[in-house]
Amino acid sequence: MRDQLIHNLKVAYARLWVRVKGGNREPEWLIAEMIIPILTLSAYVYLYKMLNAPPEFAGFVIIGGTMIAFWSNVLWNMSAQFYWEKETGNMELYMVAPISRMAILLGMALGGIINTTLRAVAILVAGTWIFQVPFALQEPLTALFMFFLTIIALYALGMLFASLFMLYGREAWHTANLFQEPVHFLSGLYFPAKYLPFIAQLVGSLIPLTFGLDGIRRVIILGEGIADIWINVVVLVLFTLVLLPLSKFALNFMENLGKKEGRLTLRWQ
Amino acid sequence: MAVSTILKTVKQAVWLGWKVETNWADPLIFTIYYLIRPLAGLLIVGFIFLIGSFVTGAFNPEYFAFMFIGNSFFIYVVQIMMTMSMLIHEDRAHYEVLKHIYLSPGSLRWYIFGRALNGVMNASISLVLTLAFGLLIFQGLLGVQISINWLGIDYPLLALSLMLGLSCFIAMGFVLCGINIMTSKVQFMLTEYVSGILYLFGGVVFLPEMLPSWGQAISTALPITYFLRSIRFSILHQASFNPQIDLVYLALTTIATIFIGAAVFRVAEYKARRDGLIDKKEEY
Amino acid sequence: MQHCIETRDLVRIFKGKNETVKALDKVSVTIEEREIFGLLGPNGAGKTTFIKVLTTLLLPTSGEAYVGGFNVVKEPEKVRRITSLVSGGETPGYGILSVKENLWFFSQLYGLPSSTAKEKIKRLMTDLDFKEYANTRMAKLSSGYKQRLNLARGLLSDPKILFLDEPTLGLDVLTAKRLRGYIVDWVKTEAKGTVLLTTHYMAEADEMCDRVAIIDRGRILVCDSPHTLKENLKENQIMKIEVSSVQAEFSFIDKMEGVVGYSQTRNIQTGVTMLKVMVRDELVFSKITSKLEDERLKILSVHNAEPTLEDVYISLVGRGFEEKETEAATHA
Repeated sequence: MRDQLIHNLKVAYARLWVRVKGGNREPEWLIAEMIIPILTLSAYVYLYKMLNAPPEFAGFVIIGGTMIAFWSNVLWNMSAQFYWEKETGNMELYMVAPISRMAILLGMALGGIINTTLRAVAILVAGTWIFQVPFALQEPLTALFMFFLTIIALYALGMLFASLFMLYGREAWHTANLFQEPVHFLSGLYFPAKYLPFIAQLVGSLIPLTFGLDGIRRVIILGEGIADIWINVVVLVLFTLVLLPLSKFALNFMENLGKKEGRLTLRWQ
Repeated sequence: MAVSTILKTVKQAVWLGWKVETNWADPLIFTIYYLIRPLAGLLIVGFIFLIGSFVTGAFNPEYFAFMFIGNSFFIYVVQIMMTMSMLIHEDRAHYEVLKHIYLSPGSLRWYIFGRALNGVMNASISLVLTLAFGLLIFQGLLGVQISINWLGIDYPLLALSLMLGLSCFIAMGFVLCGINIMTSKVQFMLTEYVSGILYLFGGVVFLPEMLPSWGQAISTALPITYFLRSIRFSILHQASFNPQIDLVYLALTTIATIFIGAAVFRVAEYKARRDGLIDKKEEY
Repeated sequence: MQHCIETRDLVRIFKGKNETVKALDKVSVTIEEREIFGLLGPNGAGKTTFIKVLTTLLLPTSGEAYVGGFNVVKEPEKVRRITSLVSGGETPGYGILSVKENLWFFSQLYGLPSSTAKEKIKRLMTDLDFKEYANTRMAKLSSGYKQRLNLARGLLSDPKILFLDEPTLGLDVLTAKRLRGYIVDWVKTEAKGTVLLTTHYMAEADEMCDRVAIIDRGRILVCDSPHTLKENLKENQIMKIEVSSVQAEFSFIDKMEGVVGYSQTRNIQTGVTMLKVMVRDELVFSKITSKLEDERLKILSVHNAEPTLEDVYISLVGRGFEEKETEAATHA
């Protein structure tokens, strides 16, 4: 049992290492992933300025833009990852190795978090400096706590998607595309989600990002504390507690289904 | 090269793009790429506008129309850039057909042009759908006043603006194709860079006057600025635009872009042939 | 007695939208330790499906399979600990990482301590003669070196049983020969493991395998050593006839009395078709050559041939492995 655990932790570390090493080997990607989001964010900040909106709205945009990096990572480097692994033939090797599949997913998630945090910090710093975003941060530890809680919930969702997409080829790719702009809208990446129509808020509340983003913004921009955002904390914890075991179940279910139907390592679907 | 060969190549390329990219056979995928995603993008900026106006207590329907039209017609930029920048990678590394196209009697340039035309077609479908659903949501459901007189559109001006603007974007696309022929390192990010720069500096969703002076200088050099002004004038007839001057600037910047696009692509083609890049596969 | 690999009436059915395919049809096979066992058959015969079941990638529809004494359905984790899979024609790994980095990563999937892994990687790269590419990104390697990397990856964990699924697919003659030699050495002198090899190259099976099973349409037709299988054919006569046409139809040969089977290889470049005909009686050959002349086909040469594994296949099925349009020069 102990040996098995150590083995799987090594596997998770190895997969994390691949993600971090590979993700930072091409400096042009690193630069692009920092500069490109700032271009779009700037357009939205200028739009708010044109409307003479209060300066904290610029802060909402910058923080939303920072969190996009994580959402994109969850979609493309977690959810659709098994699709890529199948295409390159790595999936087969993961399946025949004496390892826990969750170890692979954990390594992917941790590697993604490390890579994305580097980029996200760069976006946050650059955006804050360029637009002189006013912060009213009273409880920095609360902000960090909300951030980590949001990340964990997001990547738990990513693990669930990865399991579901394991069997599906191009559908996984298209579904990941579907979850980009619509989720940006529904989770209120660029404005407080409370201003959306009720039905949109209802749908948005199914996404962990909505609660995480709201909590982080309220702490950093509006100066609120843990007592004000406890609902967000509870919801994110619940998301994590539900999504993690669900992703394990989905992973086992999809693997068995794939082995029954012969689609586990089938390419060009 | 005979005109008939050119027309045939272009026609085949348009057909191929329709088959491979348009996903018309799968309604769900078609809806995702040509309606849901662009519409979500429009909803984002629309709600930024509405919420920003709400908190300040001042809603300007002219500005809303300005943003609405600008964001919608930007679909052309995104679609054309995406089609043309991914084209080389897909045909060379994924489908492995680029060398066969290159070696065929029709020219690679006209093939790429045909694929770009398919991109224009797809963008047009997307535009119509996005405008329709956008109006339904904002005007119909949310009761937002959008000052667009659909019956008073200056169609000749609209057509001329589209013709010039799309030619310009296709020429930009040739620059992207050229770069992607020479290196595969930047293919995915080129589209994002170009779209991002044009979105920020092109007066798409906000007045370029909001930018710092150096930003405004960039804006005056970009063809998209005049493209969107001409489009807006033809649809909105807003007094702040001068259609003749904008058209002239659009024509001049378009011509310049076409020269640049042709030159870059020519150099790229030569280099590709010299260095054996036509059928070079690079993987990640 | 426990066999290294054992299958009992293994069946695997694939149900598609419009058709049902029986990829494995009551396959019963036993493989002993330190044996190089070949599964030979044409494309679509069921070879890869068989390997996928044994490596726990696929569940059988019915029947049983044991690898290293473990049931592949009920004890897959135990099977995975003692096996390794190398598939030809594929290049798994991460192109952006170097050869060494890729191998280290895969070593961790099998729980090797890093220091041990590094030693093994160094040794394998030396043995497989691609040490100089250790720091080269995988994406930059040619297919031959990628396959060496693939094989090295498969051997890192010192598996008790190595599954090789068409390991030399798409490789040039020299590289293929080198890899085959290495595998044989590995079994006989090095790790003393067992190998199950699938291939559609007769020469490869002939050269490497202690025993060969020929599979066609999911069924094992025969299973014995290559030597014995060929010896059993001595009662038949085999003739090679070169004809100067690549367009002509030769299916009439099949219908002639006394013909056990034939195969044809068309060489588009030279415009010559090589017919290999197996007959029960020598006299049938003269009937065949007469018929060819009646069809106004120029016969360039006629000579006897020693039986090969393909001839064994022809004798069982009546046709060659596949219509080949150029010479299979890589595996002469």
